Amino acid sequence: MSTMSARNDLMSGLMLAGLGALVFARATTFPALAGMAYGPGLFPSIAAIGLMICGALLTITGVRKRSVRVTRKPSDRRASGRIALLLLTVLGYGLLLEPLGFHPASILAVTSAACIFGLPLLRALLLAVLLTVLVHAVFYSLMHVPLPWGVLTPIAW
Amino acid sequence: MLRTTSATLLLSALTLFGTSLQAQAANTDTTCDWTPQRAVTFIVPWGTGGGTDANARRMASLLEEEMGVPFNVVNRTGGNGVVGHTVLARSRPDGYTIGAATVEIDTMHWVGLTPLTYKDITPIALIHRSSAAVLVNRESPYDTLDALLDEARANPGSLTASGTSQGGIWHLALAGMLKAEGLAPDAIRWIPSQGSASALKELMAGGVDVATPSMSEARTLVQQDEITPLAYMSDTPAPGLEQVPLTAEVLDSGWTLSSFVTVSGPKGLPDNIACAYEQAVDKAVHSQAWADFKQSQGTPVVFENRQQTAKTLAEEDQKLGDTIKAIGLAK
Amino acid sequence: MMTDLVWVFTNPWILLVVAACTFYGTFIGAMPGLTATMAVALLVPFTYFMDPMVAISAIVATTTTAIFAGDIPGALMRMPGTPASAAYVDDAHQRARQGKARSTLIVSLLGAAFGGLAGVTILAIMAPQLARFAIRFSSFETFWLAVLGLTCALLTSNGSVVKCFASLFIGLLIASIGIDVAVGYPRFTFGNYELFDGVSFIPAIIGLFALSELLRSVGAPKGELTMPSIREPMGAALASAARTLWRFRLNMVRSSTLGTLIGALPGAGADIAAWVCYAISRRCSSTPEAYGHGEIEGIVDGGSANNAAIGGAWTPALVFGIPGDSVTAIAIGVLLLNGMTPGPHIFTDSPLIVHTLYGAFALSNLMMIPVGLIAIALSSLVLRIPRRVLMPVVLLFSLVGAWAITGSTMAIWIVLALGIVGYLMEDNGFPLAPAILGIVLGGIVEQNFMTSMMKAQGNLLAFFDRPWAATLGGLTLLLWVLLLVRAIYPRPPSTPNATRDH
Repeated sequence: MSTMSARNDLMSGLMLAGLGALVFARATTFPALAGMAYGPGLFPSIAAIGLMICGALLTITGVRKRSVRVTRKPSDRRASGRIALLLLTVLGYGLLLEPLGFHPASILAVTSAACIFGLPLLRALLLAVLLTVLVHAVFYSLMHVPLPWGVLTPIAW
Repeated sequence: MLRTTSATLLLSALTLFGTSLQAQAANTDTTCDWTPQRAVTFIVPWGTGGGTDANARRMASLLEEEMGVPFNVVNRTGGNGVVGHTVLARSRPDGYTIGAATVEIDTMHWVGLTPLTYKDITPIALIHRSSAAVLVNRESPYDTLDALLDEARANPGSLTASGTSQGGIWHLALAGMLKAEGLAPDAIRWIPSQGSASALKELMAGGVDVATPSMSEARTLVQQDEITPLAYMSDTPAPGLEQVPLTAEVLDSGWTLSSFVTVSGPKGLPDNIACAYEQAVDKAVHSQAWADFKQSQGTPVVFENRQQTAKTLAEEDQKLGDTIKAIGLAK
Repeated sequence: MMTDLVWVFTNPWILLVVAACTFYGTFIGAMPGLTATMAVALLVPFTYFMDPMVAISAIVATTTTAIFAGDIPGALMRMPGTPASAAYVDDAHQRARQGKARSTLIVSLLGAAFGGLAGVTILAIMAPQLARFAIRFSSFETFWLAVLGLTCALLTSNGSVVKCFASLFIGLLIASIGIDVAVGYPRFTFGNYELFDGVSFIPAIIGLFALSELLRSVGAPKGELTMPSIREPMGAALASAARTLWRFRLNMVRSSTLGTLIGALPGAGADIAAWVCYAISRRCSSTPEAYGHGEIEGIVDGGSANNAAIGGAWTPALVFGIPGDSVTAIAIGVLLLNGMTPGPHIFTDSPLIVHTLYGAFALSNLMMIPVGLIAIALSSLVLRIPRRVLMPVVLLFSLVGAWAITGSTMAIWIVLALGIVGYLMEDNGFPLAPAILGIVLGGIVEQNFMTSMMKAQGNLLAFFDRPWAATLGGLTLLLWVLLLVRAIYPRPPSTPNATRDH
């Protein structure tokens, strides 16, 4: 129960200020309304300026509190690995959903996610097949969501 | 409870049977042998609850009866119609994705929103037409279109109007009318809104002076005397609102403008598939169920086949392009 | 009217459909990422085959229960099933972690039923008058109302004021992606036409709440992050919930009334009602410091307000045919398809549909109690499902649910991007709630701001010209002063941060 692990106001402050500056630079290039001093860039600019101010304030607090920085716990590296794998699973699902089709992509994604969460491979596969059938029934059959069939298009119903 | 509905269904089925004989007789030369084997996705570029959505959903449910597979309506909104039309145009031309392409396919590319034009879709049929109305708050000092235009002529920029986005079809209706009557296109300033409903809300709340959405979307409020119609931008009266003056008669320029909804497929839709859909839509449009629906909407039943729709799309594209250039919105 | 109500309560078709939709609404609402709007949107194809009375009853029953059921995953997993449950999700989850999941959920169930019944009663009595009031709102008033909603988000959040504001600005930036309302210029779309419509809200909330939660869960050392355990038998939970509700009966009445009124304002739905009533509850409470850490009082207020708002939202829909929220927008479409046009005449022309609506509301709120109790009792089964099985299930439902909203892979990318953003924000002590409100209200604020500016041709004083705009604007400015005071004199550091103590 450490206080916020990896909490680093200095870093997040600098990142926010940087993001705000980038957005502001981009927003000033938007065209203005005919005959007026404002346009599509006004609203993003307000938000960007706000973000820069927040970033600056956080950076100042971060510099002042730098001595109380908490170091990462050793177990964090394996945890980061699992987080990266889960993100890859979502990425893969997005890439494969339409070309491969809903069914194979879902089975792959659920199997992968279940394995990352620690389920043995065979049980993960079983879960994936059952879940895909259930989601097909709820979304495709019951709610008429046009799920993509991908490679299975010839046998689609 | 379901009795009345099933009675309607039975009735429409009978009507369909009747019209199907006619339609088949007319189309014996082409091979219209295609029938869908699984669910069809029906893309609507506008939001749920609007006029296009209502027409598209009713049509989808009739096509469902006609072709025997589910027609799943998907609202792909956004970008003032760009998103839905682009998705429709880019989908696979296998007959399992069709959609409701609207008049915006002829305006969006002129105002520089998208490179997409009517040449990127395959028209199947035109199923809906409605014209713009010139509406004012019921407490408005202007009781005729002339009085309104006189004010705009005397004090350009003092009046405001709304109805849709900047460069949207109802903006063209107003700006085009002003231009045709010899005024500056922005003599009444356009306040963009997200759709007709919020424009009508603004009109009733006194936020804008004029609204120019389609008459069918404002019909209820007009009939309840919540808002006052000054004119209908058409040469034929709106059903149930015959007392509203027609711009074709009261304006020197005879300006009119209407929007339309088509059923279209992606570019390169094979002829036999387009033909099969054309027949199915033809039957659906001439059914009793569709007639009842159009009556409830206060719009006439219209139908144009593939060739006519393609011609309309090309002609309107030219006409709307000229209007957009004339009012200085072309990019 | 009474005979019509009796007809509704004894009509077998309506009873059957309402019962089925109560279960359906509970299921959809309880799935993280599936909202009440989506439940209704997906119901529309089925309503084609129904009589209009039955169709309306189905829509009412589905929304009513879905808004309540959103509390279930909110309490158990800190993933609000619907955005309307997000206001008090931290309180509900903290209580669940203390083993009080059942009594907490029964409090929100009964509070929701009370709010729903109060909402429909007020709707029936005041519909025409309320609509007359709400319809006077132009872009100036709507702008202030949305800003008021944003301000409430800042007031309800814990944590440092700077981080709250940063979170809000991140939300506003996300909301500014897409075609701008004034001239139709595409902003931050990177040339991708799918982003022209902006970041779709449902995938965004799935990313920020569900995926970031999954990432946190997979990142936690095994066994440390457990699901809350249920330690209360149903009977004891029911008795405890009844005592709580009796204790806060005045809160319930206040928030139900206020929730209905907020719901009746066009554009302000159940979400805003819950936020505002939660904020007011906190201001009026004797223990404001406990809010966000398991205070039941805020759940009573927020839980009854969001269900009351559902009734309120029907007011402008019925009287003018102008929807109060996205659900009533769909409902108007269904009525029109069935040949009924909402408007003042509907009260005289087809009183049956109006009375059916009232009856369906009463019926669904009553039927929701047993169905909700079953759902709460069974939710312990959900908790027995091991995390390694449950999490992949949540992942697939979230991804497919997001995909179903937009029908394109863009939804998955939004989930992925905002999942990472949400995870990083929480990990660094930024509250997520202001960001979400920023995404929801950012578009409304900007649209009404730009519209107002164009109408006034840049004259800022016009924002205070109309009486109601001046009132709402003054109230908002007053709250800003309060926020400033809070920033200058921060609360003692003994108040821990809103984020989880993992």
